[in-house]
Amino acid sequence: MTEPLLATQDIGVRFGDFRALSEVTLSVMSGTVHSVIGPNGAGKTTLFNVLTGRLSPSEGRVVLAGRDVTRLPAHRRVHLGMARSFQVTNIFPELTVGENLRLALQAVSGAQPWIFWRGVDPDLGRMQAVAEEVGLTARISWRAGDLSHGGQRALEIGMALAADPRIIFLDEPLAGMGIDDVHRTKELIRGLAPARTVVLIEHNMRVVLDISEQVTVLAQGRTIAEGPPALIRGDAAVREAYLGSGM
Amino acid sequence: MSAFREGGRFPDLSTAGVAVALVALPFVLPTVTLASELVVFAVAAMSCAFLLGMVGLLSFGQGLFFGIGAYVSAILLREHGWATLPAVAVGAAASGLAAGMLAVLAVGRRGVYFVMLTLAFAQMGYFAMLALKDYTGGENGLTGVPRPPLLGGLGTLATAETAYGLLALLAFAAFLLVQRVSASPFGSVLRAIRENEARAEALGYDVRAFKIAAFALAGMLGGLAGAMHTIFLGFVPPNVIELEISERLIIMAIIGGTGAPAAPFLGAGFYVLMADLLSSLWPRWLMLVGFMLIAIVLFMRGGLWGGAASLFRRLRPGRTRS
Repeated sequence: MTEPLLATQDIGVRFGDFRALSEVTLSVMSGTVHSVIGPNGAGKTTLFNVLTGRLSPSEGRVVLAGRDVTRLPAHRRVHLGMARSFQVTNIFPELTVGENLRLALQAVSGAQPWIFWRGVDPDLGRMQAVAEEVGLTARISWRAGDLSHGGQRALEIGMALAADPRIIFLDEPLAGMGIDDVHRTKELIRGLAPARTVVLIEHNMRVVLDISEQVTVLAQGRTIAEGPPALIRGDAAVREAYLGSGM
Repeated sequence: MSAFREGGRFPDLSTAGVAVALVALPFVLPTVTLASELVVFAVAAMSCAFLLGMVGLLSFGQGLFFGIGAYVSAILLREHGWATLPAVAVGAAASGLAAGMLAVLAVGRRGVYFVMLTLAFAQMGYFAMLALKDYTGGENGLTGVPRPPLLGGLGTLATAETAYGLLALLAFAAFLLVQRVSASPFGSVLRAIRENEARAEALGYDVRAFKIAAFALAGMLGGLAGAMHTIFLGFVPPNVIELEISERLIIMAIIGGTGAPAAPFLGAGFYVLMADLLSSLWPRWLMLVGFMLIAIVLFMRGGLWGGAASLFRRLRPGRTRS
């Protein structure tokens, strides 16, 4: 087997006396959709924050394509090809959809963000393409805060895609979406691989089992199972953790 | 939506408006002194308005940079016989540098902690001035600062009118810089940070570095205003580095509005003219400024500029933004 694109070794995170994560070891293969599931409070978002650099782990290492990035701040990791969306919609609501995407593109356009002596480049080449990819072409001049919930989630994914990342982290991209949006977004996520690697946190189990190559199950900050969807479906420990949640 | 929000254009109608106002001021106002004071404080208020309006940083310390610019330029003119332009430039640069270094300490803190740090810097500046009284003159200030020609013996500033000409040109240059930055990629990053700092970081922007750069730029504007103040007065009163100046600059910035690069001219104009008109009639005139500030914070968040802009839009229907 080839080297994983992203690997962690014994990640541990403590908040005071509370252990949010313990000994989480993860290998994400290039070009796959790798989902992280688990009951509420299992530590999924904490793990995402460690992987993307918002949070420094108390123990363990994060390795991206052979490079130790454990202590690298979030904005530097973006330039190594990591991008993320957030569980709670996190956009620039007062700015237009186009400006949101343009800011995302501009962030990875070299020294462009430091230019103060001339006007902004209104397109930066790929803006229309990204808007099209996430289905926002018709609403590009809208104020982002006026988009529907589904539209804002799509914009989030678009902003993550704008950086043309090798690996993209999506934190509950389907949360609160209507049924049509769920289907469309699922297709969008599936379509990202194998060109990109996707790490996905999601509660919609049908979607997760449908589109993932690999699933990691967290409970109380520990990995309790890992494997392809077929294996996870039959795993006793997973059933235990999800007991009563209708999996 | 105000111009700072969307970045505005460069140049726009306000560019012409500021140019016309700068030319007209000495003729419209009763004295050239008043016009000079107005443009000096407009630049100083710009420094506050830029931080608050573009990056969302409230600084109670801009008076410190005003003071540094005033003292550095005065010392160069008085003790070292420098020409006017280089003394002003170095005064502004010294403040920009000081602001950049203090920003390294301060920008990691958010909200009220950042504000308290800037307040502490401003307070320390005053005591540093007293401690360095061999250079700053302590409580006596620096008197008898000469007003030599601009550069290499050319461009004399013998009269109050020619001095105003220089101050107005410097103010216009500062305004052009702020307007240019506002409508640039760099400005768009600052707005993104103001709107949603965590998102800007996640997009790949080094939020800390951008905040430091913005703070240094604002410090440079404050220092430029301080150096202009030295040219204007011909001496440096110790109150240029007092906390009261920081406070005054924030009041001017908020009264004028933080939504557009030209707004500080209105805020500084209002304050300076009120001081001139009312202080002889009523020693407690600052109470009126207090009422004005309360009224603006409660009812006209865009300040005088925002109020004027919405009035302008109402008078020209059919030109609303899509």
